Amino acid sequence: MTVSAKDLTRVRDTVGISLIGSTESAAAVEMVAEEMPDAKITDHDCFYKIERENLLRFEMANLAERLGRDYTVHDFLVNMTSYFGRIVVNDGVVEIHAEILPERFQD
Amino acid sequence: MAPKLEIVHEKSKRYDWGFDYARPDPKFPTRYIIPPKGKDPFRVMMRGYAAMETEKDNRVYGGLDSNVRYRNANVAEPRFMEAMKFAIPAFTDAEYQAVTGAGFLIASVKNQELRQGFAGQMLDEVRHTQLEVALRKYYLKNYHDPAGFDIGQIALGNHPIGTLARASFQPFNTGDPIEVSMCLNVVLETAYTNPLVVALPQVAMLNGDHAMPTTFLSIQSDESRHMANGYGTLMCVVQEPDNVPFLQESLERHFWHQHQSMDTLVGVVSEYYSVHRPWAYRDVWEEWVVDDFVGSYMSRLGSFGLRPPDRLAEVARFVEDMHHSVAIGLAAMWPLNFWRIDPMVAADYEWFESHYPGWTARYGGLWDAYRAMSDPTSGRVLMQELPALPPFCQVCHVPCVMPRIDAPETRIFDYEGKRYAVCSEGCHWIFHLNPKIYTGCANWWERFDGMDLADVVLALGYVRPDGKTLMGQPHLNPDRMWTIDDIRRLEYEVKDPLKA
Repeated sequence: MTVSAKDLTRVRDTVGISLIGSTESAAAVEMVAEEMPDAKITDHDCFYKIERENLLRFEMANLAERLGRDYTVHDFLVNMTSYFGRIVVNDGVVEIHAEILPERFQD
Repeated sequence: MAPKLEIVHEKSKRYDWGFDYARPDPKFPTRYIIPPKGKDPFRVMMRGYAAMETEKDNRVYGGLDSNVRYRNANVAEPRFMEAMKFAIPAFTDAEYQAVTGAGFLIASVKNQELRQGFAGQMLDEVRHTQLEVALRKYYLKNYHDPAGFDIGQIALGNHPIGTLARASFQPFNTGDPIEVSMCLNVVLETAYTNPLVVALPQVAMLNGDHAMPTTFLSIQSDESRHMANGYGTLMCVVQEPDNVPFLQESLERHFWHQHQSMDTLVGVVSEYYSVHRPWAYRDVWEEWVVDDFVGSYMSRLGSFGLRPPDRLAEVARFVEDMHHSVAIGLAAMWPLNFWRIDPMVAADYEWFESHYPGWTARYGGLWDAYRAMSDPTSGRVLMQELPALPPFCQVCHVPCVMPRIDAPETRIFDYEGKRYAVCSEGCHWIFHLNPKIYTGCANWWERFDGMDLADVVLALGYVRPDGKTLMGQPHLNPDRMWTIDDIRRLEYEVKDPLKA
């Protein structure tokens, strides 16, 4: 099927993140595989792409535990090469939402 | 214990004030209503930003050092390394234009939170320029055939298709500030940096170049924040109904233009300058642009009255073929390049035919001819065999061979007494939106009309340090290089195809 034969404007609820290949990203991939088994993880040789319906949520405390050292949102963002969906960066948590206006953006 | 990011961010953005004794004129006029609100999804604060960028730089420069130790530049496929000679300067053109684009937006968006995001972006763009110059220097010092890396930025500006970069990235800092954000943040950075700076590094990796992915995946980590700047700005202005028709027009214009340049660039590099191909470009475009950008973002804006670009299906049609046409076009005019192009061989033909059925019938004969004329003893170059040189599009600057070299959809027309060519209906529409933008620069062929091809190559500066061997070559063989004398023997006169 050529691209032009599909419905090009279909609304999707999928969100995604791409992480640069690193030990820290490997810990995040391991966490997603264990705790979000419905997520799709693709190894692209030098980066991972993780996709999931509606929400992706990364807690830094969880990743710090896996890495055995402190790990902040800024450390996480060093490894995040791209994303799609609506990102919300809070203290210790990075979320990506499918909805166009997550709560933080509604006022 | 450090205070929470949310609390510090809320406090910091209150440090903002306006004038109550004067109403200054806006620095950059806009047709949009820009409400004094908006949110930065990343909550950029300079302290965290600086620490993060320092860590990123340490990793990239550490990566370059390890590549030097492992002599990676000469382990990589030369076919791919040649593409970096024009691709890296094109990237740098974008970064440089975007520095002032961010300044445009800082001056125009009356919201401290969004401004902070744009301030981070301005610093990022400077960082990217420096990283790309460092990468280019790494290639220059370590790759066995550095000719072309040494004059990359000037060479790109002189190149017939290199002006594609200037045409594509100039809207980052000209015109209406909201349209700067639409072009830079929403269309280029959210839709097109993904194929360009995330997917393409995988091709580099598989072809043995580890420096390019190390650098560009780090650059793209900043682009993520720029996507959020676009989102914050778009969500701020789209909620004013009077802005929606302007936003729709802006989306149409920039989506078509960025598609023409970016789909050409990534398609050509990933498929024609690689030996190992992880995917067909059409599939990558569908994944990152159609599914992720349109499906998960643009299509969700319907409740605000904004719809996905109307020419999306037309873009999909072009993506099937356009990079094949431009790739052979670049090969046909190889003496005008500052890099080398490896001829396609049987394994390439097989890959193209399996991913793009009908490719061999359409393009195989041209690549056969290119390969047959690759040795200087052939005494011929493929551009001599063409019935006429294709004009370059006055809007996007790609050669008018779109979408198929055997069935171009070129439009030639007169405007205020001068003849112009555009490559497509989309570029024709863009031209007439604001002709003044596009009538200021001369067509490339016009500059060299009537000159011998050898003199054109010399005028461009595309010769090696010996003063006679061309930088561009129609093969990767180090022993059979064409010289300026070989080109002069062709007795080929450049003719402007638009000249009456």
